[in-house]
Amino acid sequence: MLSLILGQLRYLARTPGATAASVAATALGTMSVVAVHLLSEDIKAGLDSAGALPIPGYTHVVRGTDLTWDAYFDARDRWREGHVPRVEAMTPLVEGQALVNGRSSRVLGFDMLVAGRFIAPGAFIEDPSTGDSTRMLLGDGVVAAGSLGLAAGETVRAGEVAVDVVAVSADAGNVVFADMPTALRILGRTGPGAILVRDRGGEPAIERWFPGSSAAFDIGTAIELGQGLTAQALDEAEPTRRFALAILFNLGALGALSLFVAAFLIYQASYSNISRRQRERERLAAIGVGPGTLGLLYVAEGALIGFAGAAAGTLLGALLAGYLASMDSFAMNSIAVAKGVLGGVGAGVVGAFLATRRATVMRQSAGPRWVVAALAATLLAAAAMSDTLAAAFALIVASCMLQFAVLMPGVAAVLRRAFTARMGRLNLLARANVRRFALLLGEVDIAASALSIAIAAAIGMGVQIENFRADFYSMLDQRLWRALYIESERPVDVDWLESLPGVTDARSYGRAEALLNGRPVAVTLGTGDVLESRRYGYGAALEGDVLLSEAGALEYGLEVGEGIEVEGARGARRATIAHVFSDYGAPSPRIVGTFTDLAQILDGIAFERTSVLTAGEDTAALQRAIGERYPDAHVRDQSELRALAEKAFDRTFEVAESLNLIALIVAIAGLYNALSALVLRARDDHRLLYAAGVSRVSITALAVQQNLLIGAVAAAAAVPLGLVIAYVLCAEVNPRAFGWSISFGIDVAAVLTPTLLGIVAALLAGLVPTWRGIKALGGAPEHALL
Amino acid sequence: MRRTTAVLTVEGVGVRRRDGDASRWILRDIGFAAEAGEVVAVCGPSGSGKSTLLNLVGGFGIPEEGSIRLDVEAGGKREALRVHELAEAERVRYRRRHVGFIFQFFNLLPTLTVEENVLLPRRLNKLGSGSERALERLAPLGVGDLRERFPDSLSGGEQQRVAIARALAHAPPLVLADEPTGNLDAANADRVVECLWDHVRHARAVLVIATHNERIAERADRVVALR
Repeated sequence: MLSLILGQLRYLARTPGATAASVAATALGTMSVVAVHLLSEDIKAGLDSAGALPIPGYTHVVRGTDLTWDAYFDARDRWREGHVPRVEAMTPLVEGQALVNGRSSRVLGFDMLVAGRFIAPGAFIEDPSTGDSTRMLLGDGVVAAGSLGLAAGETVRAGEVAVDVVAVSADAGNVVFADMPTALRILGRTGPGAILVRDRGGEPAIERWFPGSSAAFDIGTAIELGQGLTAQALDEAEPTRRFALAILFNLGALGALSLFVAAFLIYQASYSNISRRQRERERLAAIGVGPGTLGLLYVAEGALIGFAGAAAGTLLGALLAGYLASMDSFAMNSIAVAKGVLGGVGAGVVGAFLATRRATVMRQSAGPRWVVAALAATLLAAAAMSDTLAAAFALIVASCMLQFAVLMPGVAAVLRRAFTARMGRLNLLARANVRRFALLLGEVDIAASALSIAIAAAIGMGVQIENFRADFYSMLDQRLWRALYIESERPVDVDWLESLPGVTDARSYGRAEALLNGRPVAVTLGTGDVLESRRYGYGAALEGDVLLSEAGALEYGLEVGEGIEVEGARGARRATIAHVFSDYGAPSPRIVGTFTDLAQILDGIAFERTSVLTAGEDTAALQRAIGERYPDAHVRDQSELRALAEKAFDRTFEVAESLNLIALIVAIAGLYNALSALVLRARDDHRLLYAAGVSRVSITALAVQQNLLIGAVAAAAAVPLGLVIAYVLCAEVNPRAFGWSISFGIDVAAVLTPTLLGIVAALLAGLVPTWRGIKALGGAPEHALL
Repeated sequence: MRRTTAVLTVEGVGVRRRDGDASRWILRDIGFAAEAGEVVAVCGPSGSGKSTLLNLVGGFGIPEEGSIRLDVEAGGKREALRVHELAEAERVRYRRRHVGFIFQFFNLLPTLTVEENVLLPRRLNKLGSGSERALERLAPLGVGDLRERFPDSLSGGEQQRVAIARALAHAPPLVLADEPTGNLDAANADRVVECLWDHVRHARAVLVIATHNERIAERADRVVALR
């Protein structure tokens, strides 16, 4: 057995090109999985610190400007007495907006004992004191986020008080951190503003292994704390966070794709290796080595390649994540390592096992293809009958399986048949070449399928990302107008606001609860003019009709044009649904109507928010004026928040594009391996042509044409699959996972870029082995002829 | 068909195999000459350098010693080709225009039909007229009714006869055959040899044939024995 293993190792060493390509592809696949994991964790941590959570690990939040300390302590007592068993931890959070040196900033005050991240070493960019960060905040000082441009030691005006900046943190956004009493003084508040709650179930294990995946599951159930206090799941409380998690989830799928393609590649490489060693197998079999032992040897070889690739890929993944996220330190954790090693070795073992089966047991048989095709058909049938998220993903998986088992071999067979016929117009070399290409396509179908699927995935993700981007910006337009937002418990004088210099428009919004055809619905009230309707994707003013959220339309089975009854505490009114708008994951049904139409039937309208559109960029003077007239109000400049959100999401999109590229590179490595094996087999034809007086350059050109044609077919077959993947992601996966559908449009650049890249990739993949093979034609005379 | 005659002269040819710093002579001081219509049999045990000598004559490499010359006369024009001095591109052209190859393992292009395989050298030389005559050679070779077939559907003997038709299709003045019967049974081998001899003499070509077969060597005009 030892000699067999040694023989195996020698074979790997004697074929360094093929071995290196397999290891490199596994490394690339593993790299993308590990990089995605680390990046997702980083992005999530960023979301937490930029969002409601200066303290990680909390899952729910109670918010309200009227939240009092008594309410918090009552809730805490009920929890400690065991009345709220779901809650594991609870902490108050003081949050609000204040002007810090004339700039609207978010102020967060929290309990130092639970602020773990502030105690962590390296949490600050600049630490002028002893390094004990906690102690720094146990006074009147604040820690300012780096992007505020403040320096440690500076005294700043925050709200109504003067405070010292004791340190600068690495956080993004206009955030100022303080202990709770300081934050309350800055905000001029008495109540905490928010309570953070940690669900005993915590973050599901799947979220730790696949960051972002929780966005696909219904973990957003609220926790009733009693006395009218309800803790909302963070994702529900902050739709933008849920949106970001949705992107992370898709990124995770993309990272896994690279590994999937790597498994294909190892399969193709193993199959080529095993096929090439048929004589060796027969000899071993002749001396009594059983098929089980042989299979074990090849699988062990796959595991070895997988392990080598996983080790390199895990390290590279950490470096890539560091580069893409501009991390200062080398990030790594046990889950990322485990995912990398298990993924790499798993891909190696599975790829080698399947290749061994094909090469030894099912040789020359179309059986496995039909098994895969039958599985895909079953999967499709099952997916069509279900509206679950798993079924939506099954649609994508089944489409990829069909590409591998039916489409690519079918294309190869059709081309083979078509090119067998006479081709009067083509010269003989071209004729031989296209026929050979059709034969080749049949032989490298696994690698060509892998390339095709990688291109398709890149197209699918690219188109989805473009649609996602468009939707994201519409969401920003809807949720984050480039405006000042005033949050106030009492109505704001809109006419006064409009009289202020620089103000182009001011409008207040009301919120109330009502019944829609007898079922609960949230009502947003506004002016209903065209400007406002456009934010919801509707182009006309509301005149007696309403806009309904997508969640409402789905849950209540309503469509545009249908008549509905809106019933409030003071009466009912009929209206028509003018448009269904995307509410970006907000799960509760909502209608948008006008004060004129609905205010008279509703009771308890909360006038919480007023938006102020301005002509200029500098809103500091305006904020000061509003602050003086309404000292209790919170004024937020949405432009800054929007700019931050755009930056964060653009980075995420860049990461997705990088991952697409990695999947393609893995596929190129696969094709390189497959074409290397084929060049060996094409040697006889090339030598014959060389003997017949065809130059090496011409033979190279013929071989390059073949590679180009293989790439073109793989790319052409990838386009429909890519569009199917994009459509399923936009129209099926997203609504099922996150509650809203992404509008589907075909972005030409997103389709063409991976397609052309795939063709060039095939060309490059074939270039080196082709040239090496053809260069050998002019070798020593004792080798040149056949 | 254009009438071409040639004289092949090989003088003092030697070539070494290098293995790291060491080297040994594979061929040394080999010489022979052949007139148009003559057959030269190159004989010797395995590893004696038969194929290497054919490769050198075919322009696949340059000998370290000696010279290889092909004097060609076509349509009243004479051309003296000093094969051992030709550059790579010139050797490619030399093979295309003046040499026909027949290999032990037939080596037809699997993606071309019999007819297309036979016509390939003519197409490479851009010879338009005379294609039908080249194809007519298939009939006396006993494969005239296989023109539309692909090589993988032919027997070994049939493939080798098609290979002969291809080697002669562009009427080369020099035909190099490396063990053309080595992979055939006796009956097919005899048939292939008959065809080859007939056509070489008829076309006034020079045939250099590497063989282990003593019967073939006996029929040759000259024998080059390698050790």
